[in-house]
Amino acid sequence: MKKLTMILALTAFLAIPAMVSAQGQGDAASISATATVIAQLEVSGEEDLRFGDVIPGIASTIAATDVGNAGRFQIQGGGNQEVSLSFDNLTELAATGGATLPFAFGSSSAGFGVSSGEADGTFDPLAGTDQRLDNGVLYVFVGGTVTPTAGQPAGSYEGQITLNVAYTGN
Amino acid sequence: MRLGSLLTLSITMLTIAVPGALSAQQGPPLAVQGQQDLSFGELLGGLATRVSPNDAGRNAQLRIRGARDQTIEISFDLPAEMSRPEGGSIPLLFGAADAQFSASGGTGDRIPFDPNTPWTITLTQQGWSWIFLGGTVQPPPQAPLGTYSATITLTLSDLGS
Repeated sequence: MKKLTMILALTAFLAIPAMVSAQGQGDAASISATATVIAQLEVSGEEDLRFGDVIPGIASTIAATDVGNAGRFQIQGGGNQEVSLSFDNLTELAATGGATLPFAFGSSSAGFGVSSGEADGTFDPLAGTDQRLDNGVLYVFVGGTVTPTAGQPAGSYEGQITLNVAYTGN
Repeated sequence: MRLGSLLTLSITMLTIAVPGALSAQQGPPLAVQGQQDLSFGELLGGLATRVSPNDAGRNAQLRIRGARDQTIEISFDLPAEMSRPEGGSIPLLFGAADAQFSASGGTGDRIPFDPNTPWTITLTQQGWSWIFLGGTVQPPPQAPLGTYSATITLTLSDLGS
């Protein structure tokens, strides 16, 4: 009987590490997958580009930083995403009767800013630029130059300015 | 007769116990630790986005450790979608090469494997090795805005040496 007790004790002693080892023969850990779905881009024209009255034979320029007369777009989108900005070219304004008034963008005729009242920087509207939304909003300003000829017919002229905006993915 | 039965039982337990005790002395127990979440960042509804397992900034990273020459099985519990607290979900997919194993943690020794099925490998070192995981999320066009998440679990099982 004493011999049996010793064998059982020895067995129990050796068995304990084995049981601990068996519990250590695997492990698991978890991580998360995360994503944020953001809003689609929305672009709206808020203010027209206004040259006011111009005099035949005298060019007139509105700077992008002239927020009182420059055209203004508002862009709304997701978070602080980067967007590309560029304008379609515009070469003339047209009057109802068919007369045209030469128009041109300058290399700094476009501007951008985080508020509607101030352009933080300028860019070439035809070359375009990449800018980042600020909490989902960015304003784009646009100016340009009209060059009426000496014999420019009197009247009201207008043209369509188109801003192209897209997420860059950055 | 009763004494005979007890002796038989004791010897059997002894036989089982010895290999386990030897195995425990060969190296550290299997361990896995999550190091980096799988981050898809900002998405647009209707536009699928893939994170490559090679994308160090956005891939999932876990490190594993076992004994040298130990053969282990690596299995993922992969979610089919991510959800947001307010409700709504977006599908999440894992391709056949979206998981990678690397003994060094670098880019030169990566072995791709399918995270959708258990994968077996024999460890060549006793230190930490790395598992990288990518995936693809497919938000539907009208996916509600917000932050989505899901849990990915990696399980290691010892298959012996």
